[in-house]
Amino acid sequence: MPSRLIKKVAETITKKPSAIKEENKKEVSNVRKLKILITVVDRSKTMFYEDLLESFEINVQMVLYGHGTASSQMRALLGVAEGDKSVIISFIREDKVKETLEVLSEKFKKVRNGKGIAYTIPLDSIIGVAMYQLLSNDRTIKEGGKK
Amino acid sequence: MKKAYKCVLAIVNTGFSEVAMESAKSAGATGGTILTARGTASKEAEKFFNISIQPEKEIVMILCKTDLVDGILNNLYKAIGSSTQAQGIAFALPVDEVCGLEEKIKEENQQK
Repeated sequence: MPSRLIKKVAETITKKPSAIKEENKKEVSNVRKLKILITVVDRSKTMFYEDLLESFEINVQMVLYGHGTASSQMRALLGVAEGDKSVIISFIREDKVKETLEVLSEKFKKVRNGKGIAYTIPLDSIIGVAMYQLLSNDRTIKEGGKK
Repeated sequence: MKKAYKCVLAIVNTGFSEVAMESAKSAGATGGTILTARGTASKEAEKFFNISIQPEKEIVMILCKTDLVDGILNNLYKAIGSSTQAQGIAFALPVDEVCGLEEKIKEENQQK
């Protein structure tokens, strides 16, 4: 047993730093980055957009109630009925962003009173592997980014 | 790479969101969303800095073009900065992708 341990330590010491870096890169490459998706929509359409976002593997959504600041004249011009808004904060995997925003953009144009805006904010770090699994809808990721 | 849009957030005491929005609009912002929130601060810090933190807050969220951000933050600092009654703080977050903005739709249509 000790000889095996010594062999392993010797292997690690003799390994080139570039090789170690490459190995770490391989491990982390399994982890797909997350982003914060913020969707601002009319309050009456909150449920509709929540359901829509859920179909893109978004497991966690938070809804904040707010109101828009556009003047009544501007609202009439844009055809927005009320000033009450919902801000949906959700976490989305990077590879799903393009597809989601395309569908959202389509719905913003076509759904009656469904006008809104959506944007993503990059996310640097997160605590807990379980939380990452939940937010990314990927249960295969283990600690250290291994599958 | 410079991103085209940024999200400006201003956290102010309740009742000052209109002031924040007006000052942002004068720097070129077109609109925003106001959220209600509750602030917290440590009692010791409040005593040390001789300030009182009003718990009821409003968050003004503005999505705007990157080149407008400096002007907006500058105006916000003057209108709702810590020296005013609004006791506001304002900051900008990077934004990667955007959809649904009126000006962006117009740009896309022009490109087509």
